[in-house]
Amino acid sequence: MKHWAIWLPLALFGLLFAVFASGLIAPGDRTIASQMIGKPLPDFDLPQAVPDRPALARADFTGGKPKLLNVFASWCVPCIAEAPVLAQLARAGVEIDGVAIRDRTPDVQQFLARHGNPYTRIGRDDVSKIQFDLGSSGVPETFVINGKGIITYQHIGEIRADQVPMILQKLKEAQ
Amino acid sequence: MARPDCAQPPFIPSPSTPPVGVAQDKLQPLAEVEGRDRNPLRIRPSTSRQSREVYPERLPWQPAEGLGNSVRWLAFLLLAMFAVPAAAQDSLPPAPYAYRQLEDPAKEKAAQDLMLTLRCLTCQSQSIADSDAAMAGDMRHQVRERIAKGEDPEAIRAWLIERYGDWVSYEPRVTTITWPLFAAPIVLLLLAGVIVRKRFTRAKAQGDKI
Repeated sequence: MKHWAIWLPLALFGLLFAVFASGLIAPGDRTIASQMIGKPLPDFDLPQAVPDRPALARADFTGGKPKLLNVFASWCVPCIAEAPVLAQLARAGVEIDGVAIRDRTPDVQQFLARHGNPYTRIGRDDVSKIQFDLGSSGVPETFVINGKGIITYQHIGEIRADQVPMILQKLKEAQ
Repeated sequence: MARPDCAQPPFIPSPSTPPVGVAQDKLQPLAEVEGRDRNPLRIRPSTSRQSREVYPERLPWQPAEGLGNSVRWLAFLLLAMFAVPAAAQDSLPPAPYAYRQLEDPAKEKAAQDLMLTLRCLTCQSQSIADSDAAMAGDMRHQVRERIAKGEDPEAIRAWLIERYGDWVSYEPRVTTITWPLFAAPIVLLLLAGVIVRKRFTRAKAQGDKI
C-alpha cells in the first residue's frame, strides 16, 4: 500500500462529517412544489359548497381572464389569517374561486360569515381529489390559472399581506 | 400545653365550664382534645395562612424555587408537549376506501404493494400505507379506486410522479441524479476485484521468492 492511502479513512470521515453537518445546519426545504406549473389544469367538476355561491368546474377557468384558485378549509388555521388578504385581492378586482377541502356546508358557511367571503365560486371536495390533480400537498394553497386554463403559479401556504403585490404581478404575467 | 410553633393556642374547654349551647355529652375529655391537638397534621395553625396572604400562591406555570414547584413546572411542560392546536382537524369521515380493503384480494394486494411505496405528503417519512394523516387516507382512496377500475399500479405511480415529482415515490428510478445509486455497487465490486487480484499476485510473487 502506498503511504498516502492511510489518510483515506480520515478523508472519508471528513467527507461524511461535512455531509451530515451541512444537513443539520441547513435542513432541506420540506415544501413539495407542484410539477403542474405550465401544464393545463386537469379536468374536474365539483359540487356546490354553499348555497349562495355556484359550483366549480374546470370550464370556469377558460374564460380568457386569469384567476386565482384557492384551496382552503374551515378547519385550517392559516386560512383564517389568509382571509383578510384574499378579501383585499378581491377588492383589487381579482376573481378568486375556492375549493373547500374535506368540509361540511354549515362549517364553510360559518367560516365565511366570520372571516369574509372573497370567492366567486366555491366547490366542495370531500376526498381531496383536486389536490392530487393540482399537485398540492396541503391547505391553504393558491394557484394562478391563466385565461386558457394553464396553471402558471403555485403559492404554498397562506398569502401574507406583503405578498399581495407579488400575486398581482403573477396574475398580470398570466395575461 | 405550650407549643412553640403555635401563635394562638386554640381554646380548650374545661369540663367544669361547658360552653353555652353545647350539650354535655358532646364534650370531649381534655386528654382526647390534647391528643388531637398534638396530631402533626393539625398543629400548623395560622402561619401558613399568613404566609399565603403575604406571598400569594403561585400559578402552576410560574417557575419557583423549591423541589415541589420545579416538579410542578416540569409536569406543566410535559403537558404542554402534547398540546395540539384547536380545530386543526377536519370533521368529515375518512374517504370510503381510506380504511376499507378492496373486495378482490388480488386487487387489494396490488393496491397494498403500491401504497407501501408511495410517500405521504403530510408525514413525509412514512408511506401512505402507514400514515393516519387525512391526506394519506384520501390518497389510499385514490389508489384503491383506480386499481378497482383496472388501472395498472405503475400508471398510478406515474400519475402521482407527474404531479409531485419523484419525491412521492419510494421506488427510485434511474435518472441523471440517481444513477450513482445504481452504479455504486458495480464500481465497488470492480474495485474489490482489482484489490483482491493485486493481493493474490503479490502473495504469489512472495511465495515464489521463498
